[in-house]
Amino acid sequence: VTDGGVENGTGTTWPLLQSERQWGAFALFGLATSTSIATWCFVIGGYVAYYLPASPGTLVMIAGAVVGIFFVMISVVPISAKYGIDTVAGSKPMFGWRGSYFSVFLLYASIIGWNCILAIFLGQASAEILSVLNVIPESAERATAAICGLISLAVVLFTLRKGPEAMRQVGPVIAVLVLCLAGVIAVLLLKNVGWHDITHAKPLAASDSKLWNFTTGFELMIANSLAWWAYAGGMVRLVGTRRKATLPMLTGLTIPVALVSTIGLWSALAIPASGGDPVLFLVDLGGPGVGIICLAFIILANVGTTLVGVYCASVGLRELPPLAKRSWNLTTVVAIGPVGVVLVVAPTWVYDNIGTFLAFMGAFFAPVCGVQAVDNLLLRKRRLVIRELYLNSSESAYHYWGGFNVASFVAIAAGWGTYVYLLHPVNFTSRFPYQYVTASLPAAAVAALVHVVLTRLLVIPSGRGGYSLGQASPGSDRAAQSTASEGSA
Amino acid sequence: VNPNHEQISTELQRRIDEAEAHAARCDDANGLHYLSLSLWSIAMPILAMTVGWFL
Repeated sequence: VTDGGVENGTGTTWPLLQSERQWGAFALFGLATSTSIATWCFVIGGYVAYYLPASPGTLVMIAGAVVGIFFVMISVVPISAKYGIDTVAGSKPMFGWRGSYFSVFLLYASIIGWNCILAIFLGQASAEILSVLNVIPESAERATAAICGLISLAVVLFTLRKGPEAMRQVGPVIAVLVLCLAGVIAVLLLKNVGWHDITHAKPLAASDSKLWNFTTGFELMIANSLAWWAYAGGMVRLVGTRRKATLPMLTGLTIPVALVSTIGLWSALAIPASGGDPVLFLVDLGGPGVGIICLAFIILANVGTTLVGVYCASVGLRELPPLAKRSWNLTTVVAIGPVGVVLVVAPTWVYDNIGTFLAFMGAFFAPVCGVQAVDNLLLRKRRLVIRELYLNSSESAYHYWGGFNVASFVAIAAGWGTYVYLLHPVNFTSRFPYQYVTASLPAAAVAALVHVVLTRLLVIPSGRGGYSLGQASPGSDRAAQSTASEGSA
Repeated sequence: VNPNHEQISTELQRRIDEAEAHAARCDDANGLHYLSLSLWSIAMPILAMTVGWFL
């Protein structure tokens, strides 16, 4: 397929051929690591520092990352790794072919949100470092921040012009470099602040309940990790089998992000005004050499992550009819355009509302992961009929009612309601039994349960959703089509 | 994607056929896989949280 600058199917939502799925476990681990390590880790660590001290906070962040990734691993990863399809196409069986536009919205909104945070962080930190190093005057910081952010977006667009191949080439290199640079920053932090001060620092805004503080630190990390749902499909479809995808995703998206978030946690505890960002005070203390190290880390880490985000968002956007036949390069511009606008128009507003954004990630993605996991693993026994994913009409087995699966949307609404009842995403007020069960886990469980009940009582008896197709013998297309037509009639 | 477009339809059909054949041949996820994944994802956080609680 010749599609803009992409000479194969990697720029479409179509299933990839085996010849296009040549990424090995190492390349995927490199991609996962380079994607997961970015300055958002500092932000997340800074938020956990509100509730937990250094040692418990570090362990709780690792625990939260593992649980969050678990939900991604049982929802989107089995589908994308098995069939070589992206997150949006893989969500059609649970949402319906028109309902999958909701996935496009989730994917687009979350990736734009994350990319805004990364570009703003990159711009601001670069400007501050350049100012401290006397490269630019202090009065030019704001304009320099916008210019640096825009340059990073241009680099991403340029790198992606030929599709994801560039990610395979640069992913492992970026992963190794950012891990080394993160290690250097951690050592500099320990050297300048001291282990004693870090471990004895009190949380910034802890409640009286130790259990509530633990649960909230845990919840923040789960919610953050669930956002990988948007990225994971686009990443694992490039690998040939599920076996090659599991370990790199499990390790690459959990351990590095937890470790680098620890730097944010330590920084926020030791210097509360830093908000988790160690860069400025390290440059103040260490001078030009440290400034260059920090600048290199920020540029490499954030550009590497934005690269993968824009690729995944672009593939998802191709599911929309207006973009399906446009060039790949135009799609990447659409995927990254809003980030550039935010960078220039409202960077401060976005930066000040990161906590709310994080909580909304959990409120939306936890129910989605719960529904997709039971839909694929339990109700469909891990079998989809791929042809039906690309029949965007009433002919498709995934047509349901007008292209929407009412059951899954009711289930997600129930999960979302559960989350908001337990933990309000804006003001962080909680209700019993939040402190014992978190908000994301019950939200996923309630959504999954409602979906199973409604599907068994309503969808399957009505012959919709193609639930019987997966059980048919492979290759029985005629029987499959016949059943699909009955289902959509 | 326009399934009525003959050329695209042919290319898409080729991809669908290969994806389904590959999935049938290489479906290496089984109960044991999900059991070990679940055990890791439950046991490891419980251990980390327990240690963290007493630190």
